[in-house]
Amino acid sequence: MAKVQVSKRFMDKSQRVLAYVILSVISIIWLFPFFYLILQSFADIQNPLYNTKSIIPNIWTFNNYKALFTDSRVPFIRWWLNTLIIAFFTALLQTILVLMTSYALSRLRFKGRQGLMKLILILGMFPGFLGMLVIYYILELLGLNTSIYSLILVYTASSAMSYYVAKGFFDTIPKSLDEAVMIDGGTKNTVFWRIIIPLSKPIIIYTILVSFTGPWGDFMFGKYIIQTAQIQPTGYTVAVGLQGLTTMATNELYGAFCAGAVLVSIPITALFFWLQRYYVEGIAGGAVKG
Amino acid sequence: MASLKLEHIYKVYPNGHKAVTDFNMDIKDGEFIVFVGPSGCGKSTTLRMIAGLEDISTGELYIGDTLVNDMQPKDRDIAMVFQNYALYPHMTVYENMAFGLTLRKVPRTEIHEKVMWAADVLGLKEYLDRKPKAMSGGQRQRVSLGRAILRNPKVMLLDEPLSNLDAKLRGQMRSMISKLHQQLKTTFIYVTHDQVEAMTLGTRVVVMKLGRVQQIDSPQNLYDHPVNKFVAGFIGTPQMNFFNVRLKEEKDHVDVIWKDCEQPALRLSKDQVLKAEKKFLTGEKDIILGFRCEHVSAEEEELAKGDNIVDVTISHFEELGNETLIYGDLKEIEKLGEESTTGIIIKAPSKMGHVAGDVIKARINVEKINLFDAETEITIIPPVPERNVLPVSIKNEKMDLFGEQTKPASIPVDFLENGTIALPLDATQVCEKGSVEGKVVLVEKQGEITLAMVEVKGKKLFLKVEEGVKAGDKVKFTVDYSRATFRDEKDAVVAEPLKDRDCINATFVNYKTAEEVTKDPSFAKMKDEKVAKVKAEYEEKRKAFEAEKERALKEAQEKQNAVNASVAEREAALAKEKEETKKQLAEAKAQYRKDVKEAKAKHAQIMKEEMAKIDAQYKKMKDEEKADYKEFMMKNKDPESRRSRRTSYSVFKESFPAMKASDVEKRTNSLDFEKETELNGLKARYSQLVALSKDKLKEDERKFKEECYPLETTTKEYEKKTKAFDKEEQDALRRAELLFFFKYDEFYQLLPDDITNKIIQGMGERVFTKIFRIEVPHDGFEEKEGALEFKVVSLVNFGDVKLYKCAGTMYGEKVNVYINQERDIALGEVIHLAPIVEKTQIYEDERNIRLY
Repeated sequence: MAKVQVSKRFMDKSQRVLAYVILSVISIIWLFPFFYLILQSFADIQNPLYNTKSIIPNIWTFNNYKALFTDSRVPFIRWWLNTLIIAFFTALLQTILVLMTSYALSRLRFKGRQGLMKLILILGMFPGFLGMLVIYYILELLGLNTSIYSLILVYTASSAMSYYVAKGFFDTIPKSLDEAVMIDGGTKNTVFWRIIIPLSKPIIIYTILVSFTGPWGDFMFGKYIIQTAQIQPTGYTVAVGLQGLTTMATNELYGAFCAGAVLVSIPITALFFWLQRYYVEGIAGGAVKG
Repeated sequence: MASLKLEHIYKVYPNGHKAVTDFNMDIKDGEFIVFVGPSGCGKSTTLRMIAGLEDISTGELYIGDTLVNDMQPKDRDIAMVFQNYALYPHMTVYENMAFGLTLRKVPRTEIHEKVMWAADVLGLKEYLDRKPKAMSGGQRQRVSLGRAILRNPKVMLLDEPLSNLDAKLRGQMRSMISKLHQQLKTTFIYVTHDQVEAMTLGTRVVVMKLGRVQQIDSPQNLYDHPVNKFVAGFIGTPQMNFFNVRLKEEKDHVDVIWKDCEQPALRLSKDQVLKAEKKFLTGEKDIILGFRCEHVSAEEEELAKGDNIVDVTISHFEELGNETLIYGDLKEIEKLGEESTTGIIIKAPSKMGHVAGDVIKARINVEKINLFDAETEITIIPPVPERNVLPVSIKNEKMDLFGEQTKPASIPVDFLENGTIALPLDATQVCEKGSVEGKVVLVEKQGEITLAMVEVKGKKLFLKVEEGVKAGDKVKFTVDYSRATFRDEKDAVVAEPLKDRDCINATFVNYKTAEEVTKDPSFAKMKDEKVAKVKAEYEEKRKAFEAEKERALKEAQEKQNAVNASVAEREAALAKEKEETKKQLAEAKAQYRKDVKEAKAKHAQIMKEEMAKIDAQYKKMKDEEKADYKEFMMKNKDPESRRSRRTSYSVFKESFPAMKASDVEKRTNSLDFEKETELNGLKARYSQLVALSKDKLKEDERKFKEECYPLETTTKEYEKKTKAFDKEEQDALRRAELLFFFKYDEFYQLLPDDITNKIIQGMGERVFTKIFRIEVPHDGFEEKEGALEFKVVSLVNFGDVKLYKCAGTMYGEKVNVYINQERDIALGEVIHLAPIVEKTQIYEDERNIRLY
């Protein structure tokens, strides 16, 4: 009896160990590039004594970070601000649009609702860059192709298409709450602003995060517009600017690229830590039976 | 408080499914109405239509005297309690209850008073600062009730409010709702699938099945006199016992014979089946016998009465504590095989010493039985019979019904022997002019109807009489033979009644179409007249309005002149007040912040202490166990008990962290609730204070403006009023230009606005493409120039009723109508008839709905 118990416990333990080993390997593969990037940002590769074969740098320096703020070829602060402005406004507009679209598709019943939802799903399956050429021409027609801020329009235009997650969340808020509001004397507006929105904090946070990180890290649209319209380096976004550092003839700014990449992650991390306290689950508890 | 009226309400979904069919009901002020039925019977849909959460397909709904079909839920002055409570989870109980009144911009002090009142009534005072998630199901439903009652609505709607509660709580809530109804005296409409709730709560109960109303009656009447087998089976637990039987009338009693048996099993008195039609008593028709378990008894004293005793084989028992249900099979039918239902349930005080398999004797109390026609499942002994069926013979132009009399010429039967005549109850009317006289044998009251059984020359029939008629009185009544059905001895119909309504078809057209098609200038004239009338009406109104405006402005100017001197002084006072309020609010804010900080600190301290307590407690537990184990191991040498002690110790060690964690979690949660409740309370009181002072300031500002600048305020007010008046006039004029007609063949009839509205509302955009069936009663025609042409063919004489039969052509086909006219009309005369639309019934056959 006791023997059987012990062997079962042993089996449980060994299985757990195996699972952790596999998970550790996967996380190492996943995290190594980040880790390596951080190390490289502190590596003095210009130094002739630098050992390029070693993973952990043998000569440490802050010069890479300094270069970002002092080297005239690298207007990093401008790039950073440009990207921040684009990402901020995109996130703001996109969140409002996504929430409103999701509410409409979750709560209102109108002709063609199902068809619209399917159409959006299918449109979403096409890679976005297929329309790049056309989008550029539209921007040119509107006279908006001369500034990188036109990206706000590009990113926001299709934002309502990512309504799925928020709609799924709204669907879980009982409809009888809407009905209770209607009987209490409210309108659809009251339902949205005073019931749905306060109950949807987690999903609002999620939407803000997603719609901020998208433009923050996007490279393709930015690069395309900048290249086609030949915008000056001060008008770059971080992604385009940093990529430019790696394609120079010499690798003297490679370290600055690594340092820039580390700094780019700061706003996202800050944003997440600031918002995560609202990101609590179970806020809808107690609305109805339960 | 208000009454409700539901007229021909239908709910038809776009796929054609009818959720509710022809729902008619009058609900009196202060009644407690319960809708009950199995799932999918349309009870909730009906309630939601009353609430305005679901559109009414056709039909009309009145709350009080207002037609509310097109009103938003919020304007109907109703309140609703949902099955799943539907509380706003992010608001406290107080906010939940106050939300509706806040939206309606009720002053804050009034809201506070009402919330406190409702909380007091429902025992929620100590929970006001909690959020719904910190409450139990019963408490949440009480909050939901509170939210509903504090608005003092005209009608309270409750949609299965107790379904989510456990049995004990349900009982308590039921009596609470009942008390609430008595206290508030509001009209309650309550939906449930639980017939116990229906029976205990309702003053009247509506039983529904498949979208149709089965019976509307008081709970007792539903229980005692169900109109059909469905109601009989649905109401009452355990279910009513049903058996297939036949009835045979003997000289002084009626025998009940089990189907497929020869021997009579039970014996009914003739009085019990007085209202049953004779055809059910011949022994040939299948009948369903129903009786409840408390009307069968296996007790000695009942059995001693000797009659109506059956043998029952017991199959099993259900002991309920205070009583026992004996389940068994009727022995006599059991023998017959599986064709018939044999199961019987008997209510007994105890098992009475029997065991399963015993054969016992039981007596059926036949006075309490119900009888249903097996074919239609409708009761054959209704409280108010629909018709009287009497024996009749016709021979040589004579009719032997109430004694021998001359046969009215219009009865299309020349010879009938041992036949029957069926007369609807309304076809016999008690009045002084009546040609038949009878003696009242007995009188009974059925709801609002007084029913008398009258004997005329040995034949008994039921009549509706006025209150006050007593047994032994003589009454005279008229008979409308046009509505009689004659049958021969084999029950085959020999003469159908004349229909009480004639059918004509019509299409719905608007003014433009009518004018276009007919090129008749009179349509334009009709429109112009209507518009001119509205214009004149509004000119009159405008004059009055302008005069009122002038007077108001003049008064305001006078006031302005008087007040001008003191404006500066008052302005200063107001500015001072503003300053003070600002200061007060700042102080309150500081205080609030301080309070919150203190409360948080206090709770952190409590939490710390509690955690320390738990830590100490568990440490002690661990140490004790360890010491105990060591001691045991030292003292005990028996390997078996040592092993068992070792196992129990290792189990303890393993489960120890989880035990502690669960205790910590429980404690943390409850402390968190307390903390949250206290913080909610602080916040609520602070925001109440802020809102109140802001409201006061606003009100003072408004007063200042109104009193110091009366001219400006009044001018603005009248600007608004003028705009509203202009809009109203425009709307009225636009409506005046809308004229709709029924087109019967070539005749156009202008429709009154209310009927037009009903038809358009019921049909929507399809209204112009459908054909409507107009059913016109005999007195629903009027003579009118240019209307449908008919020729009077004959005068149809049914004794007390005389009708003219008129023939005409419509849509190329011959049509006959029967009209009942005051004036004498010569035969062969050509007359023009138009239906009086208000008296007709309007149907649309494709969707099979009644529109008016």
